Amino acid sequence: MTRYLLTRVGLVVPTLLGVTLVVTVAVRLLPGDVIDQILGPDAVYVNPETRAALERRFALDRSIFEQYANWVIDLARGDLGRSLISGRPIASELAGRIPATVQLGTMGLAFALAIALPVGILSAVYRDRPVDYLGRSLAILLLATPSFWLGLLAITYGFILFRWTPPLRYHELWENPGANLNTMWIPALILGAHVSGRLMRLTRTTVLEVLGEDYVRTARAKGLRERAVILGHALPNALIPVVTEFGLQVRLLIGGTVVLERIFSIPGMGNYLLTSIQQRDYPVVQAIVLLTGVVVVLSNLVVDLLYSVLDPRVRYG
Amino acid sequence: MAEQTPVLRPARRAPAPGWVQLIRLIRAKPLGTFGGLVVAGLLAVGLLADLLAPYSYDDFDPARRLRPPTAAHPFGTDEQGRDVLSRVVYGARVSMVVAVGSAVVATLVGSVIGTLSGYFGGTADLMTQRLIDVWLAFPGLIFVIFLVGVLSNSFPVLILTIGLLYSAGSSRVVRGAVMVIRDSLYVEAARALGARHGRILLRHILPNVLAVIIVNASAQLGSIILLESSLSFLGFGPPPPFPSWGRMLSEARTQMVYHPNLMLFPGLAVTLAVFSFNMFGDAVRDLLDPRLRGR
Amino acid sequence: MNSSDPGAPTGLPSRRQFLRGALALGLAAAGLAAAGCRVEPGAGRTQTPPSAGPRRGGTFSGLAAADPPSLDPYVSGSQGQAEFSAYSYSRLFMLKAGPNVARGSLEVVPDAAESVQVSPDGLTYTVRLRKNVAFHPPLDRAMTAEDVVFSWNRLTGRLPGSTPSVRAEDIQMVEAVAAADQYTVVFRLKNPYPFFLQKLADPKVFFIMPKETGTAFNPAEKVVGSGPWVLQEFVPGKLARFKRHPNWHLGPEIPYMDEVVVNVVPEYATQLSQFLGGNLEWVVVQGPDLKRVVDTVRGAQIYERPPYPLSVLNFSPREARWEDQRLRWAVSMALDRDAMLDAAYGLKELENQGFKVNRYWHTHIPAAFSEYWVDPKGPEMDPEAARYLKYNPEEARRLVQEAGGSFGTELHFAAANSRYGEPYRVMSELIVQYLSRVGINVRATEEDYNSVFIPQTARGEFNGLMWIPQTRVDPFAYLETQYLITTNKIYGRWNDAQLRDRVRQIQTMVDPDRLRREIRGIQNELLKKMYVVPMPYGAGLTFTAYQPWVRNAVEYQTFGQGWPSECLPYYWLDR
Repeated sequence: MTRYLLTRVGLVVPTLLGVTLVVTVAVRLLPGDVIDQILGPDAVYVNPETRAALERRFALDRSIFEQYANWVIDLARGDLGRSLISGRPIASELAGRIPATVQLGTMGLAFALAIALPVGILSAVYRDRPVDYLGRSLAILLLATPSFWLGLLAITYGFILFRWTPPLRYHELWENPGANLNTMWIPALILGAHVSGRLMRLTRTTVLEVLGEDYVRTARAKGLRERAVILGHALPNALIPVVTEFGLQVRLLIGGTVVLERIFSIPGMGNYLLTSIQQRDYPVVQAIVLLTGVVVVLSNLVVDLLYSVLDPRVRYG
Repeated sequence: MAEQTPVLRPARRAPAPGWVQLIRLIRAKPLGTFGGLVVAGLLAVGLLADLLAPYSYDDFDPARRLRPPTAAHPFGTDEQGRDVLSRVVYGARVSMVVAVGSAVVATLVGSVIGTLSGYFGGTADLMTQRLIDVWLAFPGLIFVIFLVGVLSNSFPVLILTIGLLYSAGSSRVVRGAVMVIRDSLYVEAARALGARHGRILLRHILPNVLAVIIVNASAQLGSIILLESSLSFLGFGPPPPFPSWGRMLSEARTQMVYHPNLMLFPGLAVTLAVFSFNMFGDAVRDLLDPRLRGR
Repeated sequence: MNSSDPGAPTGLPSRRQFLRGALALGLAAAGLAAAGCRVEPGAGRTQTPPSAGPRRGGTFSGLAAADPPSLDPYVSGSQGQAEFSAYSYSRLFMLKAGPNVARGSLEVVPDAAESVQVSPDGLTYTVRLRKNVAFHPPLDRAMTAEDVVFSWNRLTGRLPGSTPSVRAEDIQMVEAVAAADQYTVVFRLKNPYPFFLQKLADPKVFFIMPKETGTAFNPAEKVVGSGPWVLQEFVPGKLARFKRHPNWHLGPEIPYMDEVVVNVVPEYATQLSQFLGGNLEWVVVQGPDLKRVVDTVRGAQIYERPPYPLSVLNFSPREARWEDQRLRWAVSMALDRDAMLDAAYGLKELENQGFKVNRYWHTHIPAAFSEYWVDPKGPEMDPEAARYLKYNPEEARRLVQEAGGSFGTELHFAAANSRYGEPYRVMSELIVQYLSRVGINVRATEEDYNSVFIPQTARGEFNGLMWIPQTRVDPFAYLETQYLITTNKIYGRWNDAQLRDRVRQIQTMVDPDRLRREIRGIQNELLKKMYVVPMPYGAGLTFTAYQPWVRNAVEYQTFGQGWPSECLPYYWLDR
């Protein structure tokens, strides 16, 4: 077990290097480069000297591996580099955007749990009864509706029906909590509703499994009340796969927030990543994927360890 | 349930006729049945779109644009005068092709990787899982946009890309299930008896993870349809003139307020499809998972 | 409210927009064309007349769909960059704005310059600078010729350690820039250019930066210009805040407002909601939403934007079949331009709602340049030329058969994630369908804007057909792109020496009347030859809506991205 732990931890850095190397190469495989983006379709003259000079300036004339090596060296010194297009330091750009995405994701997951856990447990306890059908249908309905559709409907009909608009500008939570929450609650709810569908079904399944287990029957035979049985035994075990899901959901969140960020004018990482890819702003893409990679790898590590601790059936050979 | 108490049982009755069993099944799982019917319906619609749709999906006529729902056009017409109902029907084909194709890819690739990784364990497993970590580190939508950008947004590329995306998750699930079974008593017994790996895999492991695979696949289908509609919405989905529901939603944005039917019907189609796949998948899992049968 | 065009030349009828009781204000609005307009209910109720005279102060809430690429104006030549930098940086000239200026006018007025003298051969421009062009803090001095020459060197990459800006490509006819004395700059050109002053007035080309740029401050992180608005705060992804420049050389009366905040709102539906809710001072409105704006915001002022940009359909330089003129004519005549405009811009609905609409057809010059564009539906255009723009599927089919029969090909266009928007997408699909009806079986090839469309297709690497908007700031630039530039594969393959000479001749014309006549005249020939097919995207109606309390908004409008310094300083808030 300890050996496993040490190995996993030791592999974190190589994994991250792997991730960043892959993305470094991948993004350079995309046709076109930042110079094409800057030149645009109207660059009729396309002076080859201009292009060569710009390539030198953006260090695009060196080999991919040289570019990667320089990037890693800078990284080791704590320098995330500068955006090719804006020329501003990437670290400060990210620092401005991470809180928004993290907040959106956290609020989304919180909403998701708040919906999924109670509905899932109720569905399991009252299996195959109307409550179950209602709960499941509701959860799946939430899961099934495209989030961008809901977002657009919210913006458009929010105004038509209620004269409501989100605040014009995004405010940080610590700056102006009221305005911040006013902006965030709808996209977080939409995001959470979506995730809750998955979590709810998972909760239901796990609770069902657990309720059929021997030790639960024992507890019942001992005379414990149903509620104590559920809360004391079913719930903790139900949380295991839910926790596992979290790891996968984190990744989906960053991609999934793109559309909502656009619609609700939230300066987050999703939109920033998409724009950087489209503009071929390589250092930015690499920095963001590094960040995501760190989060995913670490959360997977934590989840795997938790899993092995909580469920003794699983052993790592 | 009282199972240990000895009881005089009557002689075994003949099994009930097929249709009785079917009715029992439907009554036991109404939502799943509904889901299954819709799924079958969507697949049928997708296959038979040419026969079912009253108009072609690109039959345009600016003279009859933006009509509200009428007898001639039950869902109305869009800004180029195309019949929305027909486009929703053809959209079913697009969505089914992408969804089923991607799910097949995801299941195949994911099952193979997950089974091998989970069964053999050790260093191979460790390395594979780290590679999967790398894979998973990419935000999903971005991963697809990447590949579509490099290659193209044709159907084969989309199916492959989305399939690869989901195979990572698939492999994790399969791996987990395989690891549990691998350590079970009777697999250990088989190994003690000298059975070769291939035989164990085929005879013991696979049949038991089949349920998990199927359940996972059916769960993914709904998610894939949603992903495809998000992609189309962002502009990376299947190319025109094929109508895809997500694309129709994106195109309906301008007309949304005065012609809500343009937004409504494709959105409902997506919701219905995802809903049904999930319900059906739930029912399938409930039926196949032995641990859930007892209660 | 759209300004009427008392000085509009023929071909551009003046137009009246309907709102409940909005009034034109100030000096403006000579006769409103009354014919053909139905009255909105409640129009009789008058709006409060503007309080007398412009009032100082207030904060203007503007919007942008995205951040500018950089704070450094030379990094990119994109429209987003141009408009953002126009707040804080000055050019030598700018476009004229005002109540009597025709829509789409190219008339130029001095910005940082005071006056200009042009040599008779059109090769030397002697520009005198104003002496009172004050740079923003922390610089506390006036602009001199040295700054202009420094900026030029920086733009073209002549400074040690600098790379040429892509903007330099647009102004490559300039051979040398030198300071004659402290306030005089001399531009020497390699060849004459009829709209050189407009080039200097274009925010996509040449901003003047102080000579301390790059040494005393980093232009990617700090903005020090001499424009009417001083950048106070820039939060990427969120906003940019500007304060009025008290020492602006065209002031001190203007700018009237104290502050401008540009908010980043990426999604159109959200922009519209914010405007309707009163949080934004203006928004670009798409046709289908116009009625909603007018109904929801009482007194909203609507400005109809000039029909711009041009869009063209190009033939693959790799395929010899397109050298057959009949095929090119067939492609053009297969398209129903009026129907395409209706479908893409919702013109029929606008008509039904009581708005008067014009269906402009671009020629090889966009209809926005009212002095230079010849209306193909009007009397001035040679009917033999105009017929190639008219919808004639039977003739198109016949031509296709004559030229060898039906065939299959592709149409390459930018995907929905491009910046061209809905009308472009709608028209793309229609093109495919119209062409298929005349025997040209087109396969739609939608391409990712960044990955394929720009780096490959726009450079000529495609088979079949492609179509693309073209943004140039003066009519001659269009002729130059289409017929003079040989390095571009798409246009370079049309080796028409006679046409090239004719365009070269136009290039040398210094007399404005002759220039106008010649540019108007050449459009006939261009349509007959049809090397490039003009498309109706950009010719539809798009609108900018302003809140009722923004005065001077509709009267002061220019074409192009110079709006922040050409128009915005004249706006004032009546509340």
